[in-house]
Amino acid sequence: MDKWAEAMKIFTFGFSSVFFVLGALAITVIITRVLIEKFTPNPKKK
Amino acid sequence: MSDTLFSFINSMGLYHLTVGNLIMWVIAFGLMFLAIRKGFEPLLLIPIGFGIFIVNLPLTHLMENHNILHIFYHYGLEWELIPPIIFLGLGAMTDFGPVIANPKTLLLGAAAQFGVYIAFFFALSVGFTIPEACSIGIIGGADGPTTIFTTVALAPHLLGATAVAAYSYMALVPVIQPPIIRALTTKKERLIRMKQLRPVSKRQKIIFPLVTCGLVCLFVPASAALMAMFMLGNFFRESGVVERLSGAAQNELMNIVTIFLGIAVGGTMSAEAFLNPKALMVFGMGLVAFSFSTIGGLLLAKLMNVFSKEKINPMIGAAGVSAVPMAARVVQKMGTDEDPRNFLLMHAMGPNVAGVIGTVVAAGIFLTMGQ
Repeated sequence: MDKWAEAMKIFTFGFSSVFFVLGALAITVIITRVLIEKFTPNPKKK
Repeated sequence: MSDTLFSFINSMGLYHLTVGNLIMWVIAFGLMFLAIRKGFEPLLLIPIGFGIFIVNLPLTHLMENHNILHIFYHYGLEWELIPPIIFLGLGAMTDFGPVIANPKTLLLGAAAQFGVYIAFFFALSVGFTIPEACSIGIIGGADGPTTIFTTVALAPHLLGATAVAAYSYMALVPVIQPPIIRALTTKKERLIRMKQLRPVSKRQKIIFPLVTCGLVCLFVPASAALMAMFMLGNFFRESGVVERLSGAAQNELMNIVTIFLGIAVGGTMSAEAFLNPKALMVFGMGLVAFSFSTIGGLLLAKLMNVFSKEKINPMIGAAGVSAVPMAARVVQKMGTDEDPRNFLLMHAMGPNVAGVIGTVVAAGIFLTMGQ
């Protein structure tokens, strides 16, 4: 395959994967926080 | 008698000293000077500088089969052992609290990989092959072990140049970044104060390395060696029950492998291998990579401010290059220079550690597609 076509493929998949993976991680961190807060008993509540 | 004298002289390294060796000595002494006098990355520049010096002593054959530097290089780097162990130590030293408290900073770490791809294209345009361009591009991630890991797999002949470029530019973050940050931000933006980060529970900190390791390795398996070790080190730290292992990973083990890493990298920089146009171009492109990574993080932070009600100081985007904690300290210093009561360090640590994860992901994609 042409070198530049190959390079464009690496760039497109690469840069979007970096955003996708870190974006997915950000969402997972938020979901984990919500779940932990939901299932952790609040000591202030009786 | 004269034959004996000649063969004696011929057996001396001094007789075989070349101009190339002398130039490499100057580079070695320059790196050692920067480390000792200026305090630039001394833990690495000292062993790298010394490695360069001794590998350029003629007839010592230190980088040839079964000699000491070759053994360090072969088992440490060619077997890809040292970079993951360094990551184990880094993980044990890293506090992911700022990222967990403000997860959108993960995106700033992603944007700061922009320079990786700019340098990748730049390298291709001047005639490097795709595997070589991948190894050069990853310098923009500002992550030494990841650069070494990628280069050994894709373009081992460029190892000396890419490793020294990565560590030199990491050391030069306080020089490279401030002019770029000043050029791309207004005074008003640099004065933005950010709300104090919310507290993060111990439970969240324990779950984070497990989730991150699973997620990243499922999407990009080629990055598993680095990511798994990074997160194992952090799990040691956050679990709170294996302080001895955590301490060993961040102290003894880290120090030992740093010696082997530095001297093995220095050993790859013989005059024949290093003094050629390709290696010198790598240095130039490393600077391009670093600069554009800074720009990428800054621009995304500015874009986030357009859509977000709660403004972030765009300078923290520049900390997305993963030179930890140097890039975050630069942002802190620039923040306090503008307003002595504006403390940005913890806010900047978020993109800073996110940048490490981003660079590992970018390297994993290069290793998968750039062979």
